[in-house]
Amino acid sequence: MWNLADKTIESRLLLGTARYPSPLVLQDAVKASGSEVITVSLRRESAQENMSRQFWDYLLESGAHILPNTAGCHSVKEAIVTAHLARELFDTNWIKLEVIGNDDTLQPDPFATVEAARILNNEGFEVFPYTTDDLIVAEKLRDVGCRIIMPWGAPIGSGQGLRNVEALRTMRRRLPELTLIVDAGIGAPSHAAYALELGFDAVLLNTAVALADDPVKMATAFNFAVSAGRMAYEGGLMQASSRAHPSSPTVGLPFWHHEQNS
Amino acid sequence: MQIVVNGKPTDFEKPISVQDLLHRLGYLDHFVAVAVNQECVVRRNYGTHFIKAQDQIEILAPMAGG
Repeated sequence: MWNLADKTIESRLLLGTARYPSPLVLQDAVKASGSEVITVSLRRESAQENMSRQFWDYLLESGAHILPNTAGCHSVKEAIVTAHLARELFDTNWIKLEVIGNDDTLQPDPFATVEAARILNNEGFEVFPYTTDDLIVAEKLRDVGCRIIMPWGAPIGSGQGLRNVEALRTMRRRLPELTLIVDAGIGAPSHAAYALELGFDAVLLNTAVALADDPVKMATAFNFAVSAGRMAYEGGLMQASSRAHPSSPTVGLPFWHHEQNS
Repeated sequence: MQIVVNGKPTDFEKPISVQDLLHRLGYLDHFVAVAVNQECVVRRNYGTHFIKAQDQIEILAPMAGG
């Protein structure tokens, strides 16, 4: 069990709910993933269709903690309003803060993200900011009150994995008091396991499961990978070495080894 | 008066409350949140917050997201 923003949960996998082939597959994938936190967005509702009611009913049924996002926002103002609407709609102070600075790379705008985080923290939100692997930005987010930082592994939806492992490792080492979650870019269970092995508290992903040939099977794989990665971190990984070391004892080798060496 | 609801120009005879707007447009049984001119209107104020001419209304609902 671990603590995420004052909630005690077991899974270290946070799962997005977009791009699944069907609502049923989404439900089965969430179950298979073991995730207890799922992300959602807000979009314009048509009066003619009431799709949101069905989606909301599912969210309630899932029993998961809801993490609304500000996806699509490009300014501090847009992000703040979206956070207010999310709080009104979902009755939660959790907000996954995304302020996009570039539509091609979906890279966050670090200046707007820090400013929006400052305002939202002052208003009592629990801000989950999506950021890059830049340590200084992470420190600024901490300085404005964030207890959780979510650096990307790689651009959203790219599936490239952890592109800058050293930067992530440094962030983990320099910010031991914060909850760090790798958000975006995870493409394979091995990427997720690696993030957990580095000491990250959790990973947040969506596309790698949603667009898999078999999303439910992939969700299961991520479930195992995240558990394995965390266990490996807690177990303490061995130090890598530049030279080989025999695993078996060299004392008491049979005579033919001595003959070969003489 | 003309207002804009989710990007579409919409006409009403006179200022109406958010509550009446949702009713008139068929949103009453929807699970939505409302912003007027980029400010969230909390549910308890739906009956007292009146929409004026040229107001920009956003009616948003939960959607899948990453």
